[in-house]
Amino acid sequence: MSTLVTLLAAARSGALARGLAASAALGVVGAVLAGCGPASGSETLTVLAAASLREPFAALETTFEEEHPGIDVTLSFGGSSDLADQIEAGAPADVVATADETTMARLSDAGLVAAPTLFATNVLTIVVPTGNPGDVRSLADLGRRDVDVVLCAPEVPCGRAAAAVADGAGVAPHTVSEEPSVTDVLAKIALGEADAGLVYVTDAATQPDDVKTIPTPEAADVVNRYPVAALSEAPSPDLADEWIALVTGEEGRSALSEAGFGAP
Amino acid sequence: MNGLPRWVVPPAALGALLVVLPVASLLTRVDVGSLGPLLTSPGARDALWLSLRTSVVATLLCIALGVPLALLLARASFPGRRIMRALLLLPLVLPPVVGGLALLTLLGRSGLLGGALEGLGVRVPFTTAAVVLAQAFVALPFLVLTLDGALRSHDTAHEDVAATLGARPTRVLLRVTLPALAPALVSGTVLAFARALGEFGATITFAGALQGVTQTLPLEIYLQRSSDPDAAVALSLVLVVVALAIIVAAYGPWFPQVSEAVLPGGESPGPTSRDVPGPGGSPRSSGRLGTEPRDPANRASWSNWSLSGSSRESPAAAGAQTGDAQTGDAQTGGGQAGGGQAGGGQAGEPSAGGPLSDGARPPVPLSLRVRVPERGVDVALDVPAGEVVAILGPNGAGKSTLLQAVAGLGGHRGDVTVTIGDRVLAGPGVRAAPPRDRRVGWLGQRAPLLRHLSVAGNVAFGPVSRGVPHGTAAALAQSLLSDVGAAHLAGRRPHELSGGQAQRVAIARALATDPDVLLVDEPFSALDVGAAQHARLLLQAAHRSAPRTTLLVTHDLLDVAQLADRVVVLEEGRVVEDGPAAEVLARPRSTFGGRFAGVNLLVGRVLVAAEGLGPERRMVSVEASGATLSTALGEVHGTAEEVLADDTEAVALFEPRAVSVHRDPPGGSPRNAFPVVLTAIEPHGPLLRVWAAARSADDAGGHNSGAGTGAGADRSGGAAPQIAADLTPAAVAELGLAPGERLWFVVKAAEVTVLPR
Repeated sequence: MSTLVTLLAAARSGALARGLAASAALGVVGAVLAGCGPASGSETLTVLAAASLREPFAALETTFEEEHPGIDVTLSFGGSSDLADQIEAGAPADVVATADETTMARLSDAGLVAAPTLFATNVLTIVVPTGNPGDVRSLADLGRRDVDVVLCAPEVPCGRAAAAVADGAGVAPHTVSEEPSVTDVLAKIALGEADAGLVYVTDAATQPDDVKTIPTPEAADVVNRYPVAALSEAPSPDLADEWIALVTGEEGRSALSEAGFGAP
Repeated sequence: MNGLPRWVVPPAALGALLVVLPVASLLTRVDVGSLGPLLTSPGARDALWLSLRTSVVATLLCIALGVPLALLLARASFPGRRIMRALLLLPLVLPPVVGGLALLTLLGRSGLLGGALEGLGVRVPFTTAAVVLAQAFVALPFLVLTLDGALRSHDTAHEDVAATLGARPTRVLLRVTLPALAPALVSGTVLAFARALGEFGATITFAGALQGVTQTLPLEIYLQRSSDPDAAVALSLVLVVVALAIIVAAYGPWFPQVSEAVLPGGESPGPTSRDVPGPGGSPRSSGRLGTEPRDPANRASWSNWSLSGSSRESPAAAGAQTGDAQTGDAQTGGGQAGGGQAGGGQAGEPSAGGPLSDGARPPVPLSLRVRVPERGVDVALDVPAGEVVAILGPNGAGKSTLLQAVAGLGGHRGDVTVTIGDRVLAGPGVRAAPPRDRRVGWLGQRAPLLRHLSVAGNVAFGPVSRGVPHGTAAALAQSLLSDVGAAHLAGRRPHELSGGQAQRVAIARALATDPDVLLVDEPFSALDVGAAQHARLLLQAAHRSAPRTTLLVTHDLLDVAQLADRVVVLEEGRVVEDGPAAEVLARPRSTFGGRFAGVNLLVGRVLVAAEGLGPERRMVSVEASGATLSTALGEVHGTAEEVLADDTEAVALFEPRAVSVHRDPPGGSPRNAFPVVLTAIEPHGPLLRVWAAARSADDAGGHNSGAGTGAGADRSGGAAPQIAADLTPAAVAELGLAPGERLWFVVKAAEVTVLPR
């Protein structure tokens, strides 16, 4: 409000205001943008985490805040490579947990994080729309011409894993689309637009009503490991270490396995 | 700096930086060495090629669907139009991913239509067609909104004229509307293409991503980013370069420019700028044009007229013509060189052929009945063949409505009967003929020439629209342009013409289709005096060569004096006066007619039909109409030329120069002394015209009682009537007159003529 008054006053004061009006307007924009940042005051722990960790980490946030009164945990979820981009660009965060070791290696090689700890594993599973319109019973069925398969693109971790699973079983899937993320694969299956897809068991568990999982023993050999690490420039290094301890500890294991993650 | 305030510069610069800087800094990240192998990688090549193909097809789809859609939104009226316009904004607001979902719920396997399509063996998602659909979905609004905005900012003057010239709707659309729309069409197309090229969210959701099939460049960039950010940046550079190349190409030198070209003389003509005299003045141009050999075989017989051939011009007209440098580029100075054409229109003459030139067709009568209740118009008018009727009246009286009804323009429903000759063009039980079938010519205040055609092309447009071969139409255009003294302008574009030149070309164009009825709406009001007079004389010459039934809406006394046979005065949608032009100018009966003719006119009822001046002449009293006026002016005494019955309507006329002005109540016994308050003084030839309005009876000091105060409605429909007095400047100075002063206007009863209405 006071900014507005200032702006109006500046506009009224004629010649003096001419050059100032624009910068005042920019000031308003700046103030608005600044308002989007984290509130200062109480101590904050910022955790960047892969999107698949949303549910277990949300549960752990509650636990952590109960154990540390006055501490506010801010969770930010995204694709692992997005998170790495943010950290490289200097995002103010304390902890990062990625869905693959490659991305974390990129960060540790650059010296942006401390030594990572593995805390969870994930494996792929076949998902089909409820009703299984393609009558998919095994991984081999993904090679049938009448089965439309969506997979992650080979450029992203879930795509690399899917390719490894298919190669290992000697199956050439009848792929109609290579999606940029595992959620896109899941969405296409849930909408019934494709007959089968390969997603992580944890993703499949988020949509039990719309997708059905088909046992995929071949996927057990391709294990995706989740590392977590404190940032080298963490504003709250002690809290970061405590968060990592929570995730790798008993409570973390329990929350993770509830979401379908395996033990490292 | 184009009159812009200086403070717009800093925010403008910041805005430009906001867009340019991030892209520029992206470019600094590009590893030039790796570009080569990356761009030749199959993935990138396929993605780029797919993107270009799908964006082009999506853009073509947008044009094919979006142009008609924009036309309907902007020009048609149908229920739900505003809602439709709002709905079309949706793709701009929806996150593209949601747009993709929407497409899936319609065309997906379990979608509303998709299920049926699946049954037919048609699968849309995961195909290249899906990519095109997704791109068109998000890009279409950009094209439609751009066109819609452009269409709505244009009026339909050009389209209307083209329709009266005989162009069918499709021809009007292709030759008039779309060319005028070209800049917006290019902008909208570029916007749509750019949006399609950058489309990501709807595509990934609806079409998926598969190399060579659905994986467009933005999808490829997004995927590369997660594994190889440098490759993603390099591919982005490709996208930026492609987009820039297309935008630059679209806005290249061939982009239709709206700016005015500058004439060789360095003068940039506006719509009302003066005619540019021919180089060297009239002798050169008139000599050239006046002696120009004319091939009668190439002339439609009815078009044989020109100023030089018009030997019956009034002295006043000729004087105005020769004394006016404005006409230097016409054939005025040529004297009688072309006099042989004056007779024009010999029926036996070989003519241009086609439907236009079957000899000099005799003029035809026009009969007209227009009732448009929502505009309060109810007019019936019969115009004998070849008569020029000037239609006068205050703004909003319904003059233009009348003309539009004859032309079939305007689209208001109303109850209209139009008969031209023996052709019933509209009427009860008759389907209204479209403008192109009415054989009317339209000449408006502005000359809406088609900007993308040359002057000659404009004049030939009508004949060509009516099926005359191009060569014949071109010859006809050239001869008509000669007639209006614009032959040397034939190759110019409309924006290179002055207002006067443009109006002369418009006259030639209106006559090129040899219309049965000419509709002229304030044709010269936007021109300066010289150009207006020149154009007026052209119309006059054309009419003398081949009389044509004409309705002429005007506010100009000269138009009436020089062109009109008859005057019809409209007030509030009704005919209040109708008579020969000379009669109306000399002895008007309506308030507007009086003002137009420059006499004081008071409307009232006959109060006393008293015995007076002689056996035939009777003194009457006339009560002025209008509450205030009647109060202030009271009884008006004048002379009548015929016996008037008591309590009938009449008008009192007196010349402004018959009015004397006094500061004090006049002594003696003048019959008419009006208490007034001075409102304005304006020059009037060598004299000054003093305008005054009535002041109240109380204010009058009892000299004129309030007797005769009538509550009758003011027939003028406008402000309280004013009366004028013409005085010499010396008299005004002597009296020390200034607006607001209380005066007495005195006029002898013998100077006041009372006429029945």
